[in-house]
Amino acid sequence: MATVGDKALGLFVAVVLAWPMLGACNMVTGAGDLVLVSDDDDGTSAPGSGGDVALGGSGSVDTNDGTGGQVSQNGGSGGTPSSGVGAGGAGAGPTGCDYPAGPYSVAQGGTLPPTLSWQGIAPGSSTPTTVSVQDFFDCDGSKGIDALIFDTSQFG
Amino acid sequence: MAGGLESDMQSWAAQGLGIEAITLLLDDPNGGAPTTAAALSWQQNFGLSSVYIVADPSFSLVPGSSVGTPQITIVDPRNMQVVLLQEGWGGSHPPQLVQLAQQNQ
Repeated sequence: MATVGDKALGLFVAVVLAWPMLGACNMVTGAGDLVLVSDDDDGTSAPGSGGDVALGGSGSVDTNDGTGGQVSQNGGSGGTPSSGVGAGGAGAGPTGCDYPAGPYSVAQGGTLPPTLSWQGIAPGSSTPTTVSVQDFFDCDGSKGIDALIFDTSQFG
Repeated sequence: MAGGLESDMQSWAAQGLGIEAITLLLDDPNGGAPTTAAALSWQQNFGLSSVYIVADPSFSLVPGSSVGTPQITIVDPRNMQVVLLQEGWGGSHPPQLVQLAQQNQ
């Protein structure tokens, strides 16, 4: 027959056994340390994460501009722009403006979608890096960029 | 176009024009999908030290289903609008490029 003392002992044992599990739950998810920031207009989105470019006969590019969120850890820097551009100077730093809002298009008169990014080589470098179209956005001229020319070419 | 791009870049820089050039490769030397190795090869073949060269397997700046190369896309960095889209090479860069750069100075 169980006594009050036995029940108290059982409760104590249960708490002792359960305590590490409560902690482990947070350890597995890490959710307690995560801050999710959704901001796709400040040039900080991870390259390639912000949407898909859909080519078609319509002459437009559809972008998913509602994503491209940024994940940072508490206690860290709060997330930094993920531009891989270095030596060329185009990614010298953020400007005070948000990337222009959509709709986006690559046709003449359209606004390039902010989600465009590529793997390639920066000026003066031979190391592959990520180049984002947002690296070249210079709303106030603070990056020293006055015009952009994209040359779509092929070897053949 | 690629062969004269570096000298043009030097000339524009000497004039104080902040023009950035980005070459988007649609293929590799063997006709396969473009890679960063192909970009490096392009950089070396044409002696391009002032130009970004990237692999563009998605034809990301091609508005339609086909393209005549080179395709020139001139963009205003103040608002990221496409000022000019031109297929084919006429022997020199479109004058709108320098005009845009001068307007933005």
